[in-house]
Amino acid sequence: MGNLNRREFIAGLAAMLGTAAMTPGLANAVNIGLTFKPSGSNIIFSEQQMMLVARIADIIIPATDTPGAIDAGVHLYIDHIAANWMNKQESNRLLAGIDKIDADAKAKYDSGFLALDNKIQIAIVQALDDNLAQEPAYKMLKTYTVTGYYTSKIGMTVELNYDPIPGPYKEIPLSDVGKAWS
Amino acid sequence: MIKTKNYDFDAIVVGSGMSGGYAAKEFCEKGYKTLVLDRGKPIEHGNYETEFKPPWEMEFRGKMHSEEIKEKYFIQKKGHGVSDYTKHHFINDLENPYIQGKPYLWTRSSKVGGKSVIWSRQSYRWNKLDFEANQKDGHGIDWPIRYDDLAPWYDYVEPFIGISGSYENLDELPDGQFLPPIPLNVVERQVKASIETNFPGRKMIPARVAHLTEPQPIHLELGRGQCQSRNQCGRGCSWGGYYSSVSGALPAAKRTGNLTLTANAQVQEVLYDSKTGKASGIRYVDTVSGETNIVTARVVFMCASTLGTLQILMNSTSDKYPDGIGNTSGVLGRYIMDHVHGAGANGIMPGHRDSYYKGRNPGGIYIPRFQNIKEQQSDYLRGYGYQGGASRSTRVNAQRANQTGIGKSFKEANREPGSWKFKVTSFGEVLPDFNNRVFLHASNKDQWGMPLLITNVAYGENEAKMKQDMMDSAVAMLKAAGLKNVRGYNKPMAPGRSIHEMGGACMGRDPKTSYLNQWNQSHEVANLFVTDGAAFSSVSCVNPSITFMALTARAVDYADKQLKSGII
Ligand SMILES: Cc1cc2nc3c(=O)[nH]c(=O)nc-3n(C[C@H](O)[C@H](O)[C@H](O)COP(=O)(O)OP(=O)(O)OC[C@H]3O[C@@H](n4cnc5c(N)ncnc54)[C@H](O)[C@@H]3O)c2cc1C
Ligand code: SF4
Repeated sequence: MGNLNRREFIAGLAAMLGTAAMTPGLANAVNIGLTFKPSGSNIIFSEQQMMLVARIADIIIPATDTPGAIDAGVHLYIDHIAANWMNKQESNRLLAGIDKIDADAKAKYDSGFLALDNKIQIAIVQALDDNLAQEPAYKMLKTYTVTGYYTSKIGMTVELNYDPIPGPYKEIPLSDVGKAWS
Repeated sequence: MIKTKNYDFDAIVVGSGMSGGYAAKEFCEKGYKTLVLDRGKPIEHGNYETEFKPPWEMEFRGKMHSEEIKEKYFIQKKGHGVSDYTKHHFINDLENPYIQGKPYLWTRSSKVGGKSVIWSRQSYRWNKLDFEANQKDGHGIDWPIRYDDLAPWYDYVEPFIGISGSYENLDELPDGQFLPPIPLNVVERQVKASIETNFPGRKMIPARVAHLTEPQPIHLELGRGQCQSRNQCGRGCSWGGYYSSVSGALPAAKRTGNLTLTANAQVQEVLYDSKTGKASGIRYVDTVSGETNIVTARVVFMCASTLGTLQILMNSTSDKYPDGIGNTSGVLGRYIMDHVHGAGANGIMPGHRDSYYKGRNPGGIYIPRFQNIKEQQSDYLRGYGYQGGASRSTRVNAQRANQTGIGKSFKEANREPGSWKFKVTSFGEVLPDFNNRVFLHASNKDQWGMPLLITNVAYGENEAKMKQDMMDSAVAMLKAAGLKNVRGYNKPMAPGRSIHEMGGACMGRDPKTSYLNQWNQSHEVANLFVTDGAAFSSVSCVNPSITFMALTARAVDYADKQLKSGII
């Protein structure tokens, strides 16, 4: 995403989506330090693709009482994985899939995905998700959103219970900790 | 003991892993000036590079890069335990070639401490039957020792290593000197009760693992401490919570002041002195400088991991021994064995939604061998055991992403731990077969001049039948226990993949048909000992390492007596 820094990017995203879509997580994100620092190597998403991925990730895992996918830098993680970890074939499939979501929105609503109303965006993602097995590109995006979020510092330490040094193994009632270990 | 005149060292131990580490400790504690040579890179206990790295500090969140796998770990990655967190403990396949005459996945370590750093810590004694099996069914060479010969040496090594386990009083799986067991969880207890009721004669017990559940003074004084159930052991553990050569035997050897440990030392040859009829020392190449060195000692212990040891022995040629030192019989490199592996089952246990645990259990459960013990019951010979356990899946994995759901409700559902899964996998005994062998290529060498090893090892019909039963019996037990979605598996798997290779320099009574005598001593070259898996004439079905260490300690005790009485 060129020279755009994270703060500018988030600010741009907020402007584009309008205040209606400005989740608490998104607002926080402007002030939260990145949990994932790309190693400075390749970057593959265009600005447009980055915004799309961020928005979709945010719909899959929104900020609620805890931070969401954007706060955890999931879009940056997916960019990094696509550029530096996937093979060409996989990353091409992902990029094509992202573009197709946008193209489909244009065909149906006469407007790119990002400019659509919040509710319509969610409905589009919901429809893709209901059809997960038949939507390989979306499925890929979802897989990386989920792994990206739950392996991030936020996902592991804020969203779930992080227990790096548990001590001797023992049984406990779930109510003792309330939620899953990360 | 003062260093023997005319020799550089009293003892040379080749390899610093599970067996070599123990040999070094024993020699050093008995006062011998001991040189340990290991091809691996140096490693420092307490300085394990990935030990405390959470996923978000890993470049790809802990996923290995496919290019890196293709380039450097194309064999290792097909086996156990290799991840982005542990890969540096495994050998670089590109730089360390061998030739697969038949498919063979040779798992090797890259560091001092050998595979003891990356093992899964499962530790079980052999039983009486295991040592008698070859004689009974006629496959392989009869062991020159029996369980009772080894029992005191298990008693000797277990307390030092520190093994957690329960006392069960079973003939098929003798008890040892145990620390308290890691407790079974609610689902494991339920499955245990079902198995023991529905399948009389079968048992399910806590896994016996080399973890310090209650460290004793013998551990604490070496700086080892209580296991914290992080279950990230393969990265290395600064607590010394699990046993490795690097946390246990090597520090014990070092504190005597008698240890010299040389890393990056690829041993190529055991030197033979035709005047004395003994081994005079070792020739090795410094893999960093490329220099060749010769060191001498009164006694040589080979502990370079089964195939590594065989490669060196076969490369140790002289006029007297053109086919490898001590190999007049021609049996060196024969009877290579690895366990039968790659079959089992898993399922989901309904309920127990409000039960959970703290910590990641580094052990689990064990179901000891129940086949063909009192009488022959199946259409295959010998038997197998199961390892496994129950845990609640974390939802944070790719599978989770396969499930539908988005938004707040998806996120909230992910906070609940997943359903209880129970799974078992198995290791079974292979039959020793003269035709399963390794040998050296006549001209191809690695970059340091070591002839390449060729593997010619395959499983047979007995193994295929056993493997089918490993799956079928697992499915039957899991279904009976009330598990749902029970799925059995029986995957094709090349030998080596079971990471328990043994044989090739078998112990036996007759020098014509075996390489070593009942003391792990060469029949022909009296000051040459082999105490790693190469010495094994059969393989039982239990994980082997504790038995490597027991035999090693026993052999050093014997060598000590022979050295003191001037026989070697
Ligand atoms: C992932 C994994 C899990 C395992 N889990 C278990 C388990 O639960 N229970 C169990 O009992 N076993 C387990 N094992 C097997 C166990 O690790 C081995 O049985 C054991 O380490 C073998 O001991 P060793 O001394 O023969 O070889 P190693 O421990 O491998 O040590 C051999 C040493 O020799 C060195 N060497 C090799 N060639 C040369 C040479 N030419 N010159 C100089 N040095 C050389 C190597 O660098 C190495 O350090 C596991 C193995 C793996 C890989
Ligand atoms: S589980 Fe125990 S031994 Fe393994 S890394 Fe953790 S503390 Fe160390």
